[in-house]
Amino acid sequence: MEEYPEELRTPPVALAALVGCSDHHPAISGHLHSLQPPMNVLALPDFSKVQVVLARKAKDPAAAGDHPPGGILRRDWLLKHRTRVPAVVAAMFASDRVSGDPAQWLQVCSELEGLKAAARPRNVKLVVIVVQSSSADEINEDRMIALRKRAEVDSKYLVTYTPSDALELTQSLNRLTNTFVELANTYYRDEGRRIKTRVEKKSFSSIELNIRYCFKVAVYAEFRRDWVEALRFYEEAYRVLQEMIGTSTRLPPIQRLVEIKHVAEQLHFKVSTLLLHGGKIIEAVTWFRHHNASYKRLIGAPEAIYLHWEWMSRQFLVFAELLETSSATTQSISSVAADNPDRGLTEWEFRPAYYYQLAAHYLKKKRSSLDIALSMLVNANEIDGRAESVAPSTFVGQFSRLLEQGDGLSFQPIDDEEYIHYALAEGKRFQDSYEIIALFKKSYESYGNLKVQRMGSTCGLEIAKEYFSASDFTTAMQFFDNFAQLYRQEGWVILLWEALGYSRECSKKMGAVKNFVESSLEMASLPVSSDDIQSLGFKECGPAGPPSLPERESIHKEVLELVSGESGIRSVEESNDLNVTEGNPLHLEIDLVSPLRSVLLASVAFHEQTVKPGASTLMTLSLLSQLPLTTEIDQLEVQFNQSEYNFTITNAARPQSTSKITSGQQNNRVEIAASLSLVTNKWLRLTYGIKSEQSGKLECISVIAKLGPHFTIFCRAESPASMDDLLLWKFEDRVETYPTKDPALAITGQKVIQVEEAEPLVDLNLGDSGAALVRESFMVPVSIVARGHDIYSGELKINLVDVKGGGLFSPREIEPSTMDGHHVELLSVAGAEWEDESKKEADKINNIQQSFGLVSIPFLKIGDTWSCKLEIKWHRPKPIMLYVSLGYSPHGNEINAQKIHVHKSLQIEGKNPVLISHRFMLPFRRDPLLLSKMKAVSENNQFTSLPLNETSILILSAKNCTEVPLQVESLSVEVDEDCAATSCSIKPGSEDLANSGLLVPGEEFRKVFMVIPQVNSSTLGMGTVLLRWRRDPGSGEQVSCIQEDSVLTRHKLPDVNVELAPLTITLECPPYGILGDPFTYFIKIHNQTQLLQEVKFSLADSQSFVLSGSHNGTVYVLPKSEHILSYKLVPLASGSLQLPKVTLTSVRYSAGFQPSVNASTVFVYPSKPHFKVADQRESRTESVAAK
Amino acid sequence: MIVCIAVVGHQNNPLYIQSFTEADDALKLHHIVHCSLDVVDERVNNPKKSGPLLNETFLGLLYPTENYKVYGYLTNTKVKFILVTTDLDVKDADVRNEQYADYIFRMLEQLHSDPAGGCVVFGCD
Repeated sequence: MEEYPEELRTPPVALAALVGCSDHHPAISGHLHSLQPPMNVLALPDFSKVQVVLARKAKDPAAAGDHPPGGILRRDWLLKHRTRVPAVVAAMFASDRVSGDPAQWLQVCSELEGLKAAARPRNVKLVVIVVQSSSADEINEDRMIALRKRAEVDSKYLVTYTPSDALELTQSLNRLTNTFVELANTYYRDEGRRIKTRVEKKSFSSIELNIRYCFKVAVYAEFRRDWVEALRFYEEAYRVLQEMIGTSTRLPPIQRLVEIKHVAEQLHFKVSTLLLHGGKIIEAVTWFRHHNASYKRLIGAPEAIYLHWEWMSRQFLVFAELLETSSATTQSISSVAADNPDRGLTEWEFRPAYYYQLAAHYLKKKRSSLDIALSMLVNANEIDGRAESVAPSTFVGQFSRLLEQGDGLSFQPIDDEEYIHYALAEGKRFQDSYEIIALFKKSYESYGNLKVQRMGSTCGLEIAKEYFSASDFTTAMQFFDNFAQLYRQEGWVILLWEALGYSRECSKKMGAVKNFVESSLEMASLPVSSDDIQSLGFKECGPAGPPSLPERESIHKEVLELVSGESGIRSVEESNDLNVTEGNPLHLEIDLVSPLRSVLLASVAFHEQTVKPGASTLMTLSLLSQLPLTTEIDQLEVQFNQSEYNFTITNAARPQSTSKITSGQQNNRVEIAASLSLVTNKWLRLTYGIKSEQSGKLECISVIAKLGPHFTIFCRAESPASMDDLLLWKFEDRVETYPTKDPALAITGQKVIQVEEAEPLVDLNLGDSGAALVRESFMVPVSIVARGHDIYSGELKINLVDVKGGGLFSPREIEPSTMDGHHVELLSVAGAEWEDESKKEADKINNIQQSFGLVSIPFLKIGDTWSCKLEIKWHRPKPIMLYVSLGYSPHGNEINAQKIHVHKSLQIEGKNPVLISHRFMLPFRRDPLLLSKMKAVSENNQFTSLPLNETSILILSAKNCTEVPLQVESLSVEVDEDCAATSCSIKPGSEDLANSGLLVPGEEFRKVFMVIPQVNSSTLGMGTVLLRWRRDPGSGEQVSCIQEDSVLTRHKLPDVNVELAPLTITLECPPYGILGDPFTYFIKIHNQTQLLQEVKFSLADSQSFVLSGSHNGTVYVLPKSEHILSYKLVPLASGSLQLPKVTLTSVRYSAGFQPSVNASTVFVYPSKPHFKVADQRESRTESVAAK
Repeated sequence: MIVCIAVVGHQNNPLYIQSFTEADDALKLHHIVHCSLDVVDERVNNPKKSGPLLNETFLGLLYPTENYKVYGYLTNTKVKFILVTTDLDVKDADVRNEQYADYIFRMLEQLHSDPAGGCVVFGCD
């Protein structure tokens, strides 16, 4: 775009001329320049110059209608209207001259006349400016009118200009500006209209004029910023121009086409600019497509074909630049593309990168055509001579010879041959290569920004080819290698072949042996078959030639010769010979992602997954190559993670070189193979025995193949089980075989084998002691017997694990202090017998934690025994798993000696030994009225309520839940410290144990306590039950493993509610009745309050008794006193009988209560029993007999 | 006129490329087919933007380049068919080309999805 003249590139700028008063010109022109849009100013100091500027040329082509015009557009027409032909002429006169003496006035008049005469033929608009030195200046009114009349201008075009003060100046300038803009618009409109009439009336003699007129109308419209009309006429001109193709005969054929294309280019540029300027991006792209389609095939004469390509390239380049700079493209391209499904535009056509790419493409075409054209010239010097003094002529797209005629210059038409010589001479001057690289680079970068990889890589490849032909091999190779990666990934073999071919050639030219061999080997192993060449016409395949099997073979052969040292390859520079010698050895590495995997693929499979130490196993090493020729390997070295296993395989068929591949241990094993030839796509399988010695992992790391005296390939070993396919060969038709003979091994084979530990010859025993009881120190005996091994540096690891999968009991970090965190705890390892004290100190690693222990074992000879006891304590009932593992080394205390491990585990149940329960009871036949009890019915009876200051009875029972007998030593209640003594007194009912305290499984032990609460409290702590027990020593079979100490089990009693009972009822009757014998039944109501209590009572009849006394009534019980209701009862039946039921209701508390059924039961004998006190047993017998 | 037919796998690997040109530009056609995958990717990744082609397996004109037009077709299994044609010198060539390409693609898909069908070489004129 830069090569276009500025007047074409930018919208037209109106031109005004200032005449006279040159002092004021800078201010005015400065102001006009700063306008938006600006206006150019032609400043003329005096009036004599005006005639020169405005004078018309003698010969007006428009006027000379009979002669056909010499061309379509004049080259300088745009410039003329920008710099020479003003739309407005402003005549400036000083006010003193206007109002001065008659002589001055006359001069003004004559100058004005001259100006009018010059301006009128061109229809240039006139403005008269009177310059006032100050605003106070008086100008003669008559003179002003006279001036206006002389100038024949409207009164508003006679302007006064007062530069004296800033305000006046601004006003004057604004006035001037308005006038100038208005008149300029009028001028361009008039001119445009004048020419438009000619177009409309078709009053032109030739098609060239038609185009020219359309162009002019459009430019005049542009002057007025009438873009719509401008666009319309440019398009019209373009259309008419197309009609000219093939019809015009004015010029010789080549030049004719050149002219048309030049004009079309100019018109197209204008149209595209206007469309893009108006934001019509779709229209612009469509227009470009149209332009491209119209001219693409107008190639012209074969000898000038490069001109066409050059022109095409320019079209794409200019449009790319327009598109790139246009504001319209900033909006989302794809959204634009989505709007135009009908037009068949693709999103690519909205991207500058696309156009840059094609511009570069056409430039390449131009270069090759130009090269052909130049090569066809017999004498190169001939061009320069004949192209001399040829220059662009008056018309756009025309060239002619410049001749000096006296003082002036004249143009002489040239014939096509001369023109071609001229064009060739011009073409020779440019370095197209750089331009092509620049264009492709722009495209490449732009595609890169859009993350369009493949298009970008195509551009990149072109760049690289340019660098290659410009002999910049380093840069070229970088590009080729980059793009080879993409083609490799997606498996585009042919494209990869091309890129590699270039890369190979670059490294050859640079003397880079490694790169050369790498790319050669990769090319030779590409899946290119001979089919491709038959169906595809490959010609331009770069230096590597067409992709084919013979090519692969020849490349392979070349490399083989190079690495075997048979021949070197000469590079471009004499100093950089390609060779592989002793001083210049070559080492390639092939890893799991290397593209060279198809050159050499090493798979290693052990025939077994695990092996015992000392046993031997088989290992198959398989090698595969896709190289087209059979390759002989001189030597193979197999490397393992344990270097002592490394071994070397030498080829019996090849002369041996003594040198090792790597400088490893000298005593490595060497195997000799009959043949080590790699046939294309056929696994070379080698199976060897491996004898394992050390336990652990044995892994084959790599295989190093030596292919010549100084060439090695380091190939990482792969397991057949996890081996990836060869990426490029995946989809090829080829016989696929297994790397190992055994197909199962080919699927599951691993390059790793696990060498197991030696069989332990030591017994580790855990004594089974049955279930453990919570809170006792439970002992688990552990014994170690060295049966067949000495034990050196033995270590015993102990782990406690939750059976239910709760993991290790080690929330140590969370609760460092409380023991509650650990439900089961390893306390210590007891009874470990160390040989002597000094050794004990040195060796004793006695690391015991809650769930983990580590104990060191002293040296044990064969036959020795060592034992210890693990002391474990349960805090909660829970089953756990005890894991004990012994690690030892059978052969001395070497640091890195192999350890042997023995594991044992034991599940131990932790159980609660006793179940402690309690019960509160009130004294017999004594019932307090406890108000809370009345309410608590609904409240779910949280606490047991006890009456204040009354004796209650607490029965504690402990039930043996285990399967072993327990000896209870004591059962007591410990009152909480905070509420000791004062709150409540708990006394055991009897001092000694009721029986011996031996509890067989399932038996219950009971003890009675008297409780007298002394504090009125809703939550009175009752204290903790302490049960001291031990396993019954006489019963256990594993007596030794149970500790003798008694165990204390604690059980917290629940809080009770203590309250004062306002009323207490005591029922009094004899301990038994005798049938028919009357007895007295007292109901004592005791008021414990300070208030008078009204109590209603009622007594229900009973069938078993005859009763005397009131059935119901109301009594008043005085404070702190007692009221007694007495009844006489006669039992009518015998046995356990229910006394008549009494119901009391306290009116004050609206609470009624009844004594319990138990309390109101009495036993009635049929006759009076007789007891003998002397012999208890007898009396019992007797009483039974009496019953 | 068809100058090249290509079948490209779902990992953008070439499965089959056949060109029918007298000129020695088979390599260029490889490049054109390879580049067209960028357009296919873009159409597939931004389906909204390609408007009415949303549910179509026929992707239409992918891009014009030099003297060629490239058409694309995407099967359900993400196998792509690419067709490269030369410009026709007739009116509404675009529309006719497009219809023709669509027709060819549908035939190709039938062959492709037919288990007995392999790579079939198309004659062209």
